[in-house]
Amino acid sequence: MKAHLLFADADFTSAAHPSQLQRDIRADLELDTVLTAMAGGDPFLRDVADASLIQPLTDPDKITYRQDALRDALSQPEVIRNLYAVCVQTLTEEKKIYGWGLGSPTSSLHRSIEALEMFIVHLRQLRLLAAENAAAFHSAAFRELCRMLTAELSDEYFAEIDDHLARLRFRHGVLLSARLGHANKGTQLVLRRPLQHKVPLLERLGFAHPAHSMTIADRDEAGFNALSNLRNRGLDLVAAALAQSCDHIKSFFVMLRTELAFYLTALNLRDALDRAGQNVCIPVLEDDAGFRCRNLYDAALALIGDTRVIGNDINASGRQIVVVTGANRGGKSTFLRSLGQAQLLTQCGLFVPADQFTTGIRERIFTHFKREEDASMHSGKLDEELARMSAIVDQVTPGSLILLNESFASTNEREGSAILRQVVEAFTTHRIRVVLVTHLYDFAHRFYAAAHPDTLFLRANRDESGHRDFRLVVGEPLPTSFGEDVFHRIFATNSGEPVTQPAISARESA
Amino acid sequence: MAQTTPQPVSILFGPSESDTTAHLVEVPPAEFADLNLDQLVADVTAGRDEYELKPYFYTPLTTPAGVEFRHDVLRDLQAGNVTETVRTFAGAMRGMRALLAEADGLRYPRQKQRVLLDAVIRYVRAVGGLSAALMSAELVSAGMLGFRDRLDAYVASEGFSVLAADADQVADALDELEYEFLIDGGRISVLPLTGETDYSAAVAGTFAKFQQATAASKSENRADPVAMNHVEAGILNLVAEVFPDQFAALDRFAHDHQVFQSATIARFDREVQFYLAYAEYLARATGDTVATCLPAVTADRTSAACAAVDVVLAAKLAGSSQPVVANDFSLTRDERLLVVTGANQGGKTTFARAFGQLHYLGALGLPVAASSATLHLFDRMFTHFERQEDLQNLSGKLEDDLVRIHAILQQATGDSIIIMNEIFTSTTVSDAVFLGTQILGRIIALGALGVCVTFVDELSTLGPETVSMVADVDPADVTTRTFHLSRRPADGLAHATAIAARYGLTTERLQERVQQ
Repeated sequence: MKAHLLFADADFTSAAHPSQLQRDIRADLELDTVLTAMAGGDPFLRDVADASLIQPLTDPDKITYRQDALRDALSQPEVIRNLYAVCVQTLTEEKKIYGWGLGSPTSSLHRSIEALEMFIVHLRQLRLLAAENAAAFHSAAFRELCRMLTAELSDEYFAEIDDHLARLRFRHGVLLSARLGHANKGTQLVLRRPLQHKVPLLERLGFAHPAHSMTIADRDEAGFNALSNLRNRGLDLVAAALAQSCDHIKSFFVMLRTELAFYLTALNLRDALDRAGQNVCIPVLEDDAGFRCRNLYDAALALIGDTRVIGNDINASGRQIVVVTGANRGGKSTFLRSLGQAQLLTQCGLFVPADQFTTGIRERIFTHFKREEDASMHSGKLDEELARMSAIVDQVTPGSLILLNESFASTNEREGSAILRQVVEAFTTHRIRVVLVTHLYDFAHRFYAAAHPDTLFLRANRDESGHRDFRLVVGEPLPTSFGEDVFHRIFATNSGEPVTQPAISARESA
Repeated sequence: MAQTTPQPVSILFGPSESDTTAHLVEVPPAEFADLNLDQLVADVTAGRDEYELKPYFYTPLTTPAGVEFRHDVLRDLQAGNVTETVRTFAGAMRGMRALLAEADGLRYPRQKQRVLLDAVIRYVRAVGGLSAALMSAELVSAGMLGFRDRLDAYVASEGFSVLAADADQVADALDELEYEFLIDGGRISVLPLTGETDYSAAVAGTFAKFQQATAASKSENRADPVAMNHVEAGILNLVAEVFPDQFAALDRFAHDHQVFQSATIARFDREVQFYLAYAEYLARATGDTVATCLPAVTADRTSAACAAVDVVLAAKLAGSSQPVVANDFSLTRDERLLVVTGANQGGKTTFARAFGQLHYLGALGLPVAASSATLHLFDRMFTHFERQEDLQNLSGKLEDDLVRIHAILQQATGDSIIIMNEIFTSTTVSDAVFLGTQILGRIIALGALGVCVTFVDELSTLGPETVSMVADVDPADVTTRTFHLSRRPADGLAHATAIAARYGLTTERLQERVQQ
């Protein structure tokens, strides 16, 4: 019994461990904030969210499969939450029953029977939920879940279980079969189906002979021990089978909880963004080297909730390279993060933080962001950047997306530009999509001059008064990053006051 | 069944050594510890105590013909898959003996009888398998051919065929039995199989559909002692009541075949282990890196080997990255003594041991760790290694040294081998020169072969009988010992050179440094 809610033909595994590069992505795109919202305080949901975000898909059919299921989940949140609650409840009760280690076969048997009776209650709940809500679902994933639960957990099936529960009391003795093993020891012990009523043996066998029987003397304590051992060996077999059965049922609930959890994390994220006053949309997949977006915003920033979140409207359709330049604190990094988040969420089959988002599928997604925390170690910083880039180069494949945020800014502009140019040119010749934010004017300007038609240049916007609105516009690189704006804010000078320093020096001192 | 054959054939002792058969040495020879052969024998025989192999290793052969007899057997064993055949046979025989020991420890007769039956089946299969496999082997050695004749005759005998047929018949009947028993309160009833459903499987089947991943089922194999308790024995008796014929047959079999092993088989089983155990050890010790060969063993007073190594050291280093250094030596015509000098820790003692081991193992008729070797078959081997524990009393030590050497010289003959390691370290150089010259002179006069490791260079040039060998150092880095010995005049300077090099004071280095 499988609930293939994430893949049409496979289980979802929540035991994935992020690679170093994936940890980089998580940090660079501020995914922790997103994951926290997805978890909604449930550590298990956090693990599932974490695992799903490090396993993006590259097959459009698989993404569509999830998008369809996601639409169902978004429209029937209560059903999803109820199904999930049944799983959680079941597993909590199961843990109570198996609170303490293993005991004798009889106690293991009793425990398994107890667990089985508990499982049956919840399996009936699942079937009820499935039967009641089947009509509300339209996706292949949830329709199949309802069908499977109704079909497999039939009345006949519950009757079969009841019959087992009755026989497992062994009211008329334990019947075993054996062969003669080494040294004539009884071996290959098989527990035979317990009799439901007392049948005289001779009658049962049609024997006219006296039965070959013996009776343990009342005071023979060792004899009773030996007999009970033998009986336990028989019970062991069914106890093991039953314990394994309980394990299987448990694993079914674990699996179902895990699969449902994915959609629950989506519901949580949607609700959190909703509370922040933000929209989400299910993205459109196209065979596009670039992307188009309307009001694409940084979900992490929106979730923190102490800043006004501004989205971007960008048409980068067909653009393999996007170069973002412009004012400091002008929303460049925010845009880069929002794009990375949207691309990743898209490929996980989730909705994205935007009113509209259209994109193509990327083989892999990489981020190479400037690391502020390393600022004190100037000598080692370029080494560190180069090492990270080298690690990416080891892994990158054609069709991947790389987001570069102020890469190689840790050295002087000329050197940094030269390195960046080599890297970017190498990537583009291998059909790797690059979106980069840079202050390296030397690089940006030369790139602009070369006029690659599939490159889009964006600039952090500012109006004449020097105010930024954090929105990116199409525009060529300017030879300054408007560091003076930041200077003004930090030094709390009047915003309208003219700056005495020439703009060029702001760049050089940056 | 009674064996009427007079004396089981041997694959260790040919006709020329027949006297030795009765006189296996039971204690290790005196030179064993010095040559680390005690470690070798302990290693070789480890896990094979039941075969009592040590006396074979304590008893070197006395005739080249005796050595040749073993070489022939070894070649037969190495050909085709004879060794594999024998190993399979030996494994089965060990299993058979384990079963007999187990049967001995059991209390209930129906258990004892069944284990004995299993032992017989194991034995019959072992012997039959060996006979069938050797039939197609192209044997040439007198030892193996003699054994095969006896084996074939035994397997063809009526006694063996009856044993085999009886055992199979009785065992098959018991194996087929399947019975049921019902435990209801304190009462147990045994009955033939009725065919009720396997209930564990039925339960598992009901819930199998919930299974997510195919995981190995947890089957707890709790240790169930072979010996039965009285309830199990009682059930077994009930089973015997339900199936009387099968158990009567078992009872008859156990009575008829209490003694079933042939002495010829038992002797072969023991003796062949001498070869197998050593071959396994040698393979383990030498791996892919050290050459081995069957040496030519001769009564002539001549000895030579190429790429000889200390096999015990090789065994110790096996699996480590440290290589074992191989050395050549040769004593021909008038040459009698290898006089070894050179750097400390340079492999001199190892070389002396390798020399002794080679000759000793050669005299056992075994392959040795060298790429080729011609070895003198000694009448006695003597070793004189420094005794660490006596160091506190130097004058006592010198005296002790001389007493021991005197005893050696009294017993040694021209056919003996004498190995002396670091003698007279406790005295002055002039004393050591004098004493050394005297003693080596006497050995030379005897005509015995040997090795003398010494710090006294003069001993290496006593006459045409002495061959000088020097422990080398690496010419590129004189502080590195190579553990390699070359046949060349002693230079006495190797060690001093090494220390000088550590401070950059060698001739070459001084030249460079002064010029700068």
